[in-house]
Amino acid sequence: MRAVLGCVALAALLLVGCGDGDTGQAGAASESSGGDAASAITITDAVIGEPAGPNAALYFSVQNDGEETGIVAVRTGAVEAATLHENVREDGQLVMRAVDDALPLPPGPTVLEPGGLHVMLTGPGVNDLAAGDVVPVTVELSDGSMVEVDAAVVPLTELVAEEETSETTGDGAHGHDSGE
Amino acid sequence: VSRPWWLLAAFGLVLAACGGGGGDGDVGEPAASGAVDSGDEGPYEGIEVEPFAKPEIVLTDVATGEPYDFLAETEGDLTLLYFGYTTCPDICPVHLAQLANVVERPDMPANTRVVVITVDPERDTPEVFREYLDNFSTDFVGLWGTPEEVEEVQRNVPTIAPGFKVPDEELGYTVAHAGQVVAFAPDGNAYVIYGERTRQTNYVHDLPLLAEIEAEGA
Repeated sequence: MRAVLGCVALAALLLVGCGDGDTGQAGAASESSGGDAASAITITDAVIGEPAGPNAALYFSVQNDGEETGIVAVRTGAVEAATLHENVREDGQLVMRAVDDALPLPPGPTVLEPGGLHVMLTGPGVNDLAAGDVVPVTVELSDGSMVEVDAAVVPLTELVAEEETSETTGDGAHGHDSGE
Repeated sequence: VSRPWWLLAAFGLVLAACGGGGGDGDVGEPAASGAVDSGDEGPYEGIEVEPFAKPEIVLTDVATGEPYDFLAETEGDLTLLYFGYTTCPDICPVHLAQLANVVERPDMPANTRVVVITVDPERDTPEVFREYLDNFSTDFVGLWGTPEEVEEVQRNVPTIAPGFKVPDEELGYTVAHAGQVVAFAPDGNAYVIYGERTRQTNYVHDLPLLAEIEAEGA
């Protein structure tokens, strides 16, 4: 699992590497304030897919170097609502559900990425987001402390890194590397 | 085996969807022991499936308002079929942006069609859906039908299970849906599907191979 997450983190880093020159800010690590939980949390690679419809999605990577905590809210002044969702497969269906209560952040990495966890952005402000924009995001943790990070709006094609990793769809589904 | 093979194939996608969510070994086993075994020998980077024929689909073309006969209109073409909807924030736009990017590359097969069927026909009026698809490519064919028609179409496509509404506080509802792209070669058979973790390089690798599979006598 650690290797898998490592690949994902690497992919996310590569993704930021693909961005426009002026989106470099998104690679900057988060700043925390107001409590113990936040001081152990680093958020990187915050990106928003350029909206093509009424909603958009925000993704980021979290590194928790402290005790287990959780994300209870995500806010950004740019849009009306930001809600945590996860996609899970149920009988072959990709079911998107709101994350009730808090999104758990166990010690170690947690990655939000297309097809998995994301923060759904809704409301009139979504239409104003364009590739190249940088959007300040505030992440509230279970103990009330806050982590702030800048998210870059990127073209949708840059949300999934081009480079091959062991996570490619074909390999994963066929269990080539499942160790059986 | 009580489950149809394509359900196993779709279940295998869980691995792709939830790679970070734990239980990799558990989830991988059904796919590895299921009917997608044939994929191991195949040349594709997408998820190889037991080949199935292009289904009969007649829905409304959102560009013209006229009936669109999927079999007749896409005959002999490399056809990429996707079910999505406009308010889908996460994976639909990623799939569509990737497809638009890849299909328009000069070194990709010229006879490639992308056909997208809305699984949310109540909110995605033909006008709304056409406008949405135009954000990706004006060449994408958008299809609309009544909820009953769209459900029936989904039932007729192996690997695709009918979508259903999931209540959502912000959006009213979202639509749970199959979420993978089905690739039909020019011979009219599907050989590969593409799930959530698909990279553009996967399409770039596979599409020229698929384009070579032509019907006998074509």
